[in-house]
Amino acid sequence: MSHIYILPYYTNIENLRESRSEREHNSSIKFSLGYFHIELSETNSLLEDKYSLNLHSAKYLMEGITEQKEAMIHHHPKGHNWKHLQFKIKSRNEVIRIKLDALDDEDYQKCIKGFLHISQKVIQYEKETNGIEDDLQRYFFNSKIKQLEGEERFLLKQIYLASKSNGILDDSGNPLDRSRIEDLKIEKHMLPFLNWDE
Amino acid sequence: MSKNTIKVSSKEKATSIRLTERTKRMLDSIAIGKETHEQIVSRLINICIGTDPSTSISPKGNVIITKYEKANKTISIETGKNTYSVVCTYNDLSIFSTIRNGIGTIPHKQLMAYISNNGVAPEWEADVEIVNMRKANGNWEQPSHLMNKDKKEYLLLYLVSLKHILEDSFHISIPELTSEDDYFDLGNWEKAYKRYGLSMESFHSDVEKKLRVKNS
Repeated sequence: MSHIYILPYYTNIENLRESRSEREHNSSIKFSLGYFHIELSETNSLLEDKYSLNLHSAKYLMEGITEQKEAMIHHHPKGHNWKHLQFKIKSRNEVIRIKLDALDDEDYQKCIKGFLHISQKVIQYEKETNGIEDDLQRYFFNSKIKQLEGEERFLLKQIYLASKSNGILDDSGNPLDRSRIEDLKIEKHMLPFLNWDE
Repeated sequence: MSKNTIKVSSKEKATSIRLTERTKRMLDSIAIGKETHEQIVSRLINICIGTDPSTSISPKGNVIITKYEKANKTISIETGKNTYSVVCTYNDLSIFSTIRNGIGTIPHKQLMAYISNNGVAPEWEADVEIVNMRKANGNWEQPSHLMNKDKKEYLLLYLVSLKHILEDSFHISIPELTSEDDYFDLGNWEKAYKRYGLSMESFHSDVEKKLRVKNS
């Protein structure tokens, strides 16, 4: 069983936390400020073919209400056991999955790196939206992240191909039509992933 | 109570089925561990209808295709240097244990006919991999750390794990392998494999190849 360790190569090592339990290895960087936090994390199961790279943000708005957004690229042996991107849009109570079909290991890792490159834009958006003055680019990433521009284009191409082959699905597994995909672009944490060139 | 009442019993009802003494002994002989008769029959049913999540064997003409499911366990090992917890993944060998136990005592004719390879039991590999480890109650760490620092100790942990998995999977005891020198003696392993009729393919890939790397 091969594991995928990509995040540590492209992150600011000073803020990276590694934790290893009996069954899992996790690498993560988390930024918190007041009621807002954002986390980039990578998890490998040591016992089964399961991996995820997650970008998760949460903002406490008021008693009982937290605005949460999550984007990930992952695969696991149970449930939706194909490699895919997954987006949770809590405000809409929606989960969107984008299938990444027929990828060998090398291409899958390209997609993971592409996801990491796109994460910069999402994090930048969160910084601007929440009035955060800290340099989040430097907090999360090292200079090597800039080398992944080609991988971002590769991932966007895979997403575009998925959109053409009914591979963008709602939580019930139904493919989204063009108008629903356009509607998703309102979600700012999803927009960079839907920004392909046709 | 009305005629349309649905009665829900609080417990699963037990039944009894009549078996000859011979069939009962056959059933007992293929138990894995302390399985009850209920558990043995359920396992055999799942194998027949293909829902058993364990390793499966599919004969296709002259070819036997084995699709391994992965199992895992955490093993505690004390060597001369340290005490370790070692997390291993390996091929689930329970179906080969079932075949072996059926052959070893009373011929399991129907199962053998199904997977027949001229009456010879199919070969298998354990494919044990150490995926995680720690010393005593220390932090979990990548096995490659020990492999790079102390190759011999790493190999010893692998061989001890393999022995434990074989003993556990096939309900056997391998007394030839006790001391550190025993584990590194290829002859001891070969004796054990032949004595218990274990797969020689496993001997070559799981043991011989690994010991050759140590000696190179």
